[in-house]
Amino acid sequence: MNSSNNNPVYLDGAATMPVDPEVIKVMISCLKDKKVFGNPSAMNPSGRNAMNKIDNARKQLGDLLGVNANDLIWTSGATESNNLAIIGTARYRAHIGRHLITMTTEHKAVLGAFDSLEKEGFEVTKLSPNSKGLLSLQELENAIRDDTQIISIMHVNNETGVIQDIDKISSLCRQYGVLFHCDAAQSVGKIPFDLKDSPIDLLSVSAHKFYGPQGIGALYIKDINSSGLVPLFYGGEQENWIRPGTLPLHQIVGFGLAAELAKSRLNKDYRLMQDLHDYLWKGIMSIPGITYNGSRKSKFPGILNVSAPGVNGESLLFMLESISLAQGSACNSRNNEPSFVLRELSLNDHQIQAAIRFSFTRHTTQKELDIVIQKYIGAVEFLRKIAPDDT
Amino acid sequence: MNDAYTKAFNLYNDLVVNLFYRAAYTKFSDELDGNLIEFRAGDIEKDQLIHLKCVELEGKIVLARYQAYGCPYFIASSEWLCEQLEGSVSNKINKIKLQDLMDLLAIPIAKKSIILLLEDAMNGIEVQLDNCN
Repeated sequence: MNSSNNNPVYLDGAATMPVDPEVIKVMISCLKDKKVFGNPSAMNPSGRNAMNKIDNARKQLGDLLGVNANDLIWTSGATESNNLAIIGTARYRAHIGRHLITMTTEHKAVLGAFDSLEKEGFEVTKLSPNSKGLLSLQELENAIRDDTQIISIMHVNNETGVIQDIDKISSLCRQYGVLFHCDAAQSVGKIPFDLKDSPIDLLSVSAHKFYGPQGIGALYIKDINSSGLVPLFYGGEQENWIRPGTLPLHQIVGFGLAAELAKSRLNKDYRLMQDLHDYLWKGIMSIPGITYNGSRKSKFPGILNVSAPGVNGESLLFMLESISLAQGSACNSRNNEPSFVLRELSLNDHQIQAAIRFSFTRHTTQKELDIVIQKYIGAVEFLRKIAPDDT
Repeated sequence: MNDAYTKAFNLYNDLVVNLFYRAAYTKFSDELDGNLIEFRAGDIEKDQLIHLKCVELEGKIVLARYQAYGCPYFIASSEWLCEQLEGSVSNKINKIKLQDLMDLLAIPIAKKSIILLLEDAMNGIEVQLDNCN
């Protein structure tokens, strides 16, 4: 049961992915190259060289998303992108209407932005999903009012991997003239989708969720020159005055390459995620009472969330010490609060308590999953064996 | 044993780890002569539940076993308690210092309820043991 394995199996890819070695290489060369260490906003040769690299990275990300590179602005990550998109557009359009819609299972970076807007006097409708984690389009349509300005729905849920139908949602928003923002931190670079003809107005992206560096993200703004958005920061003309601050060249260049690599490996990576997901689930599905949390049909296979009732979550994690995984989402896992996402899926306290999120990377192997299967089954059996009979 | 985890997260000390995995006092045997004394404390809804089963013979606990649901501190504490209980005589049970366990296992203050719950369980066993005599 015990392990002294010094190389833990990493199954927490939804929290962050390991940086691709090619990305590391290009980032280091960026830091070392004396021709590009200038401030990208400077008009001197070093600055212009740096800006050329940034423009190239913008194009690489634009190609991955199928959008005009000029409609992308760099941010510090998806949390900032979400805040900027939601708070920035809500404030800009406040004179037209102050009603906003989102879901209860969004990432805290989205829910937190809406909470802050509520304190400014906006009215927020938070829709609950069904027991599979999916949003009802009819409920969404019913919630839209004349004064609704923004709807924000995430693409892939970070805890369950459930995919919302953002094509239909964004079309509905377009039909009613409501702006649509999508937190796509868990899907960009992992799921093939093209924004070229999409009615999505704003989309948040994070580099470290697809083998890029941490601390860099982007916000796609459809028709950036004509859209209205109040900045969160002030003090510079960078990024169309929307997001001032010196651009971090090495991170942006790393982000760009990660986007290019993701595009070239998208289908292969997706098939791998599907294989790993099916292999792990097949290996543990025979555990009595185990539940698969979230939709199985509409989901990203890189995330598998399961509950084996009758075991204490903390003891379960303790016994799986050689595996890096998550109980709830990583961003939330230090506060010991039961997962609000799983609660919305109508799971009972025992199922939530015992929930484990496995999330794969392109480096995960079936051999590693064999270890995980053995340890997980062993831990559940042990904890059930020492528990009182009626638990 | 679990060195990487313990050192990396500094959550559980070696004694917690050892007691948790030892699980030497979890298998009950009804083949022993004597009176069966049972006590159940806690609530699964509060993430702490213990079922103590002891066999008393001539004023002495000859067998102490537990079934428990809870965090590693709770499981380890239950194991430790049974180790102390087994072989105890009625008037020695109150000598078991559960407060010392807080230090021994480095149980965080936030989890002090573990000690309070085990005190309840221990007192429950002691009362029944007294009744046997």
